[in-house]
Amino acid sequence: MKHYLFIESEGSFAAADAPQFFALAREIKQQGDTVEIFLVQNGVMPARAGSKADGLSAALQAGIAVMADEMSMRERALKASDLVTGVKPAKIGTVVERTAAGWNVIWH
Amino acid sequence: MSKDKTLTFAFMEPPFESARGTTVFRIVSEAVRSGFDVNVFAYEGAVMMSFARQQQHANAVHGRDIVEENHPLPKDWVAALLAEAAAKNIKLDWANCGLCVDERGAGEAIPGVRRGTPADLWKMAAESANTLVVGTH
Repeated sequence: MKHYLFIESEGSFAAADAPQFFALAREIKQQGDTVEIFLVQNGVMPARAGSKADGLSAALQAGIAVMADEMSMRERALKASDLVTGVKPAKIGTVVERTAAGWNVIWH
Repeated sequence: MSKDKTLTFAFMEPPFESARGTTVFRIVSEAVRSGFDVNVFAYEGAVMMSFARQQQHANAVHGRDIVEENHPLPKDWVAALLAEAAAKNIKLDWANCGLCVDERGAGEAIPGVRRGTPADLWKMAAESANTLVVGTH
């Protein structure tokens, strides 16, 4: 089994190809590999509860762990309670940990 | 230097543009603080991150002089990362793509930053546990 960390820095409000990025994550997850998504910068905005951004809810429904960078949340006045159910705040160190552990880390 | 304890990061984001550069600095900082030896390969606009002639400026629109404005400079953040790594006796090898430097006339980098080639990125990656490439579309 392979491990993948998808880093989304823009979100589907700013990048038309973000839904394809999430779709790729789902495809890999469905193949049986471990997949996580790390939202950072404006990529955290679609994680607000009630947001209508494409791709993120489907990723959550596929069982992908979705994390939101704590500093990016603070910059945008987002609290953990503002996030859609299933998205959890995380530290930037998560990226370092996954990279050091040999995960395939993909930036968008 | 152990391969298992070395991480490589490549990025191409120029300074004073998007949050992407700040995120790269945060990741590198976290890696250094976690005790990893770190390679950074800056290419395209990212070679300007360590350009020594960056200068602070006043902000007349907001009525602030140069001291009050205290404009942050990425070259100072690069220097801080290098200093933090040195203080921890950790290797932080920051290489700028030479072709990208020449294109931009950015040869005056701060001390501790070296000129490299894309072959350095290949070598860095080969000698690291893993490599993260932060591209700019």
